[in-house]
Amino acid sequence: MNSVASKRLFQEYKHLTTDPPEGITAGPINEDDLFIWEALIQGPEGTPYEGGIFPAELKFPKDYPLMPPTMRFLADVWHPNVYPNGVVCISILHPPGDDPNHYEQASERWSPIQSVEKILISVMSMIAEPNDESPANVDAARMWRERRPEFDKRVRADVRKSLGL
Amino acid sequence: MASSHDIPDSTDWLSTPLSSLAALENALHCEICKEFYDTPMITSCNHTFCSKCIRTSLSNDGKCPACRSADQASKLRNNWALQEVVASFLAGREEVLRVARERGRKGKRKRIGEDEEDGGRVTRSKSQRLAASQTSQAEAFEIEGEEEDDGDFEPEPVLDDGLVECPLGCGKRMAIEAVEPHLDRCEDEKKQTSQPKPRPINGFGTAPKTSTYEAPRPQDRLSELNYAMIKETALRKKFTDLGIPNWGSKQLMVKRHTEWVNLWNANCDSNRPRTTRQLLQDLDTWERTQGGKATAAQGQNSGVMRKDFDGVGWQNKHQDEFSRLIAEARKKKNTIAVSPTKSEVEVTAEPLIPNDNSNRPVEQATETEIQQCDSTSQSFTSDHTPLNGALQSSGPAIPPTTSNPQTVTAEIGPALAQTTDFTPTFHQQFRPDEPDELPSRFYNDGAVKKVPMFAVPQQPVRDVDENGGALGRE
Repeated sequence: MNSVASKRLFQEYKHLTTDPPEGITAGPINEDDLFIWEALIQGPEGTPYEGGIFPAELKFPKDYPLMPPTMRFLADVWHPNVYPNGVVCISILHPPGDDPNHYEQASERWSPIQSVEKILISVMSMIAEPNDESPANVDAARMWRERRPEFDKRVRADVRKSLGL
Repeated sequence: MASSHDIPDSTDWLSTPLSSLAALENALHCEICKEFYDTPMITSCNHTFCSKCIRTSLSNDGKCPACRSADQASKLRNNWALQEVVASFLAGREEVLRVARERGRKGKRKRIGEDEEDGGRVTRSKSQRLAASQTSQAEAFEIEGEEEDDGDFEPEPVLDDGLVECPLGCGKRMAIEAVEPHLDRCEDEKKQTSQPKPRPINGFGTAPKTSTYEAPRPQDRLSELNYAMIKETALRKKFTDLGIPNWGSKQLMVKRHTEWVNLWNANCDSNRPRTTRQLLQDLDTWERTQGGKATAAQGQNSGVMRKDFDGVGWQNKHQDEFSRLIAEARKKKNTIAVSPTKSEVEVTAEPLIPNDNSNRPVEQATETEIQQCDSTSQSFTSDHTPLNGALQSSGPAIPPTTSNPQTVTAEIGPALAQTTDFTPTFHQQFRPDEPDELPSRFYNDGAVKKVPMFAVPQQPVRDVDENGGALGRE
């Protein structure tokens, strides 16, 4: 039984395995269920997140790629665009035609031509350059905007903690 | 063939000297399904997608996935040229890849410029093939296959790769030792031009017939209905006329109809239409993965409410979970049962006589004892004749002391479940899940009047789904 979604997910999985973008690893946790993936994202260089490895879980809907997956960080990520529970708030993950915050252009949102790879690359650049216009974590956004040194320090502490240092 | 690749992917090229072919292959992929174009269609905004992909996408939000401009499925037009390119690329892909890999292993060619020539040559071969396809289909195939095979190593004079050209003039180049075996093959291929080559599985038709594009078959396309206006009964009748399943809620039927329309119309676009039966199979796949049957396979709603629910299968599958719950419940029960006064324990023991009693055949229960026992065991003995045997066989495993009735119940349970129907299983699992105060009320009833005890084992037979559902979700 091969649905459109699982065929495409397998295709993307193969592509990501043979030719992964730098700093990103992703694949299904269990090859029997292609609809739940785990991804590891490196903290971008030159940011306080540098050196960190951030595990995340991607859940795909049955009508993927018409609808986007959801993404949740499994570790603490102190970031204006990551909810305290780890859910990532980024325009590429928002379904087409649905703009809850009215901040995004339609062109930024999910479309079937996007892919896991593009999501993860977007998330990486989101980590490097937070968007504080529509923050998911208001406290983090305020700290990022008003007390940047404190923000950086906290992020670095989180990174060290996650690495067990 | 060096190896068969079920899922062709552009990254296949990266490990070969022809890594720039990856870009070419990517360009031949539909952006939606990420596979080779299958019946590519051009939108009003000049983007190209597989027919099925773009139709599904348009029926979802009515916009082009690439540029988000509004579009309609009726405005899609076939991109026959691209289809030819894909078909010819696919025809040669496997062999080109094999040759490229061999080259890669030998480590002979390292020049990048050569790869680009190869990329360009595919285009050239296409135009040759296109020209040829207008004269004869069979010849078109021949040239198409052969040309593509050469794509990467038909040499410019610059290449001193030590290869020679096929003396029969098929245009292929090979090592000198390979000429001899090739001659036979070359002849054969000329004879059997009608026989299509095996090629990677991607849902794409075989190439020989792709050049029938001058005459797309006039098949009636279906149009979407105005679902808001049409009544459910009319919709069901319509479905019967169409020959597709008409069960489920109206919402589900609308989804199914949309899927069917997309499948059907995409098939109309194709120059190698498939049979209605195959389309129905596709619809069934959709049904199982996204439609009405999809929910049954998912964790949350396990389908226990359905009439044809396989209770025994479910029980076997979740045996571990059930026994864990039973063990936990038993533990809990023990801690509670220790605390009550002795009289309470005696009261508790009495209604469990059925189990106790049915256990007795091993201990030679007397007739009066059986009559003493309440209705539960009577219904067991009368309705389920094989039960006694089962109980006897399970008897020795059960400790003769019945100081803790709950243990006995739980241990008999599995034996009953194996030999009889779902009822005892339910009985077995139901009790541990009962709130703690329930047993005392339940038992007191049993002590006073025996009628309610009838209800306990029998009701679940009629209500297997519901109760099973309650258990499954916990």
